[in-house]
Amino acid sequence: MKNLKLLGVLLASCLALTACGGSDSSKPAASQQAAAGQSVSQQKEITAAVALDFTTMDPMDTSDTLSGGIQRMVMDGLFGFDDNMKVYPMLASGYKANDNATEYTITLRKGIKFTDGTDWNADAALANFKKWADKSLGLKRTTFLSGVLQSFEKVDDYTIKVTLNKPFGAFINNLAHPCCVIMSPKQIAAGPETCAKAPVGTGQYKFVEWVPGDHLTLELNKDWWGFNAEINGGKALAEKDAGFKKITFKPVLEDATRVAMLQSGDAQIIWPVPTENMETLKGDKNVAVNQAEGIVVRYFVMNTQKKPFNDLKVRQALNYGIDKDAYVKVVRNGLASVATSIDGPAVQYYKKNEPVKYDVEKAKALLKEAGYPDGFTTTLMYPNNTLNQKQAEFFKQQLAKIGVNLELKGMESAILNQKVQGARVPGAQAEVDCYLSGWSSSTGDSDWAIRPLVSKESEPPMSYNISYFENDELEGYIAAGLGSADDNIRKEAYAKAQDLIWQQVPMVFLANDFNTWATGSKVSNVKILPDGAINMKNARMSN
Amino acid sequence: MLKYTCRRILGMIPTLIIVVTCVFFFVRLIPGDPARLVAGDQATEADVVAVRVQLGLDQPVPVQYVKYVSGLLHGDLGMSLRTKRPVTEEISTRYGNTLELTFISLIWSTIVGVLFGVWSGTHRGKWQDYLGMTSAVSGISLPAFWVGFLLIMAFAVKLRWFPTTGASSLSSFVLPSITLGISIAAVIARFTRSSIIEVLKEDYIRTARAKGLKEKVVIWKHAFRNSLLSVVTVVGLQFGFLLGGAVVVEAVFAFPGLGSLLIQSVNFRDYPTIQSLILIFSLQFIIINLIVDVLYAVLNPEIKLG
Repeated sequence: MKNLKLLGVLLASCLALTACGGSDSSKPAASQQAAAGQSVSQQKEITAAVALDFTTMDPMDTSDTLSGGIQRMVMDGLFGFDDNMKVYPMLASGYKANDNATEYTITLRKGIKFTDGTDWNADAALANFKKWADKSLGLKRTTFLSGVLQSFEKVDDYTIKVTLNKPFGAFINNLAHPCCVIMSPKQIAAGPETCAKAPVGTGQYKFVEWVPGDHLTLELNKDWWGFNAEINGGKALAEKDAGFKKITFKPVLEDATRVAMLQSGDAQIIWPVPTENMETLKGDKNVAVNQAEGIVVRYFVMNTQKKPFNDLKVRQALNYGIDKDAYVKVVRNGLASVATSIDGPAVQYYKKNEPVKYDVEKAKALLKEAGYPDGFTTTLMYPNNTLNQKQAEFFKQQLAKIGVNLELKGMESAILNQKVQGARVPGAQAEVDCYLSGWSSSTGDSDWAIRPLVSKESEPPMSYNISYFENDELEGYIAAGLGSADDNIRKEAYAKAQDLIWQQVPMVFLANDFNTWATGSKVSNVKILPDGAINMKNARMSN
Repeated sequence: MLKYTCRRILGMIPTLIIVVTCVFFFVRLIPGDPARLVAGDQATEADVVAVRVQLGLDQPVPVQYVKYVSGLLHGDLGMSLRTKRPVTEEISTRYGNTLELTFISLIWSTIVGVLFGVWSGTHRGKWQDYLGMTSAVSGISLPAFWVGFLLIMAFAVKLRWFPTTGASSLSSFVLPSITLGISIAAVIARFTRSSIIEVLKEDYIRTARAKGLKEKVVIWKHAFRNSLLSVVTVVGLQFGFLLGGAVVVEAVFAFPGLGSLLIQSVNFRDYPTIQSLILIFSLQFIIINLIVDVLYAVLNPEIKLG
């Protein structure tokens, strides 16, 4: 009996230890900002815990935002994205384009060296263009540029001219994409395997080592040109005392473990923070929690070539019948904003439209008009992880209210991928009726937010037009947007495109995800860009 | 015994050939296109085709098979489709980690399990037995992820005695091996207990006691030695399973081991890695079975091998 009691006390104290501890959620802790010039970050070696393992260090072979974000710390691009996804020149100092968007003359910034001593100049730039145009390498983003590059030549040591084989108004945005960061010509010459394992660039950090599955380490490049206001034409990209001496990134797939690492001090930065843990962390005095609107937009896709979704009224009915505010609250724990376009808000040429008000009666009336007074049955296909299962259940419950019986078909993501994205039949014969998807325009431009999702050329297996949407008027706007480098022409084309898409409802536009991240309270200025990549350029640490 | 061992080792070869062939073809029957999965959602069809060629997946399946098997004969396990690195490289660090975790977990859980089992078995029906078996049932029933998180919250976050994750230092093995070992210790305890109870009924135990031997000697020198056979079987089986990687523990503790590698490879349909891992797991089981069979003969001279 005595020992049983002892065991009970032991177990209880173990549980108590875990339960007690600062749950003061009166005010979330903010980062303690170090005073100007007094950041100690450059003497600190920190750990960052991330959600996935890195895939490669070769930019053009990268399909995930995480690896891309790290590559951007080691290598800079001709252009880059600022905190609001606006393009700004980095290794380039400017550009000029002809009216047809087929010729781009790019001037290069002077006074920059790669960390292996090579000079940054036209030769280095062309070495990178040559790699991007090389289709034989079989890289994952091969067609990103190789499909449009016709020729490129040196005009002088700091000017290059690129000729495209068709008009491509989004070219500069493409160059700002993480897969176009510039690698040292020495590494390119050493071959694709070297590029994948040991990147060398002009960036704020130098690559140290990468043990796959375990960790990846970077160290600060004190000679980075971004610290130098003169090279930058007046304003430096980062404060002189910003950045960390050494950063070790550790892949930690399990959400709760990542959170525990931050709370125990094993990690000083973590992202993303699962929405369920945001409240817990807000109550921890030693942690600063952050959230910001991103450019990932969530959709409820409908196959517009199949009955009943080939009828606009049916699609509109579902649009009225899904409560988007409830979606944000229930599925995203409040960490999202209702979608107002197919574009994310920070995407170039985004145009805002008004979401329809949730109206069950109107939805039922529309269905009746379309010839479905008693509703209908249809299927929803989705990957069967926890988040999507939650979404699926939500939609089933919502659509039941308007008389639509949604049969849930969750399956393993690779199988789903083959059935939906790999389907090789016309939309009317495809298996998919409804589908859950999310997309972000990783180039920050409306072209990449729209064309892969609703253009005829993007129907599976070619790209991501799972709604099999076909509309000639829209094709015209897409072509107009791509066919010119003129800001106003593109803005107008994409405004019309977004309006059309909003009215035609090939998918119900749900929400824009928030990015979430957390740091130790002494760390400040760590950000996540709207595209989901980490931005530590100006990161600082107080004592 | 030597002739027996040699014969068994030779017998491994046809088994392994069957395993390799079956896995190679079955894994390709599962729906899912590795090239598309590796290329990602933002890739166009042209990108996917380029990736497929680069990974050698456009070759006819028999050609891929011959390439893989001839590679095996040279110790080359192929190239991972997911990472484009040699599979040997992917497996080597993780194998070391899993091996170390397996040994540490197995050593402490065997010792604790045996002690609990003998303690319970020799006090059958009394409070020691109930306590021992209740602990064992809890050990088997408590989910590993729950125990793991509890240990993390208590000892890593609150007390900061151990690191939360990883396999970098010896102290980072403590919490994962405790989590892993709890259910194993429980299983070993139960097997040891029933085995000891059976043996204690034997005549020679009565004789030993009648001879006036101390009870400690009776239990440990006579009863325990004879109950070792089933303990060795269970430990052998657990050893084999653990060497296949402990998926849940690896997830909770971000422990870079073979279990998480297998899951990732299956998710990406990384055929060469899946094939090589299953080949290694099969080989391990065969070898462990052989060791266990030889141990039987060592423990009990009455057992004749062959």
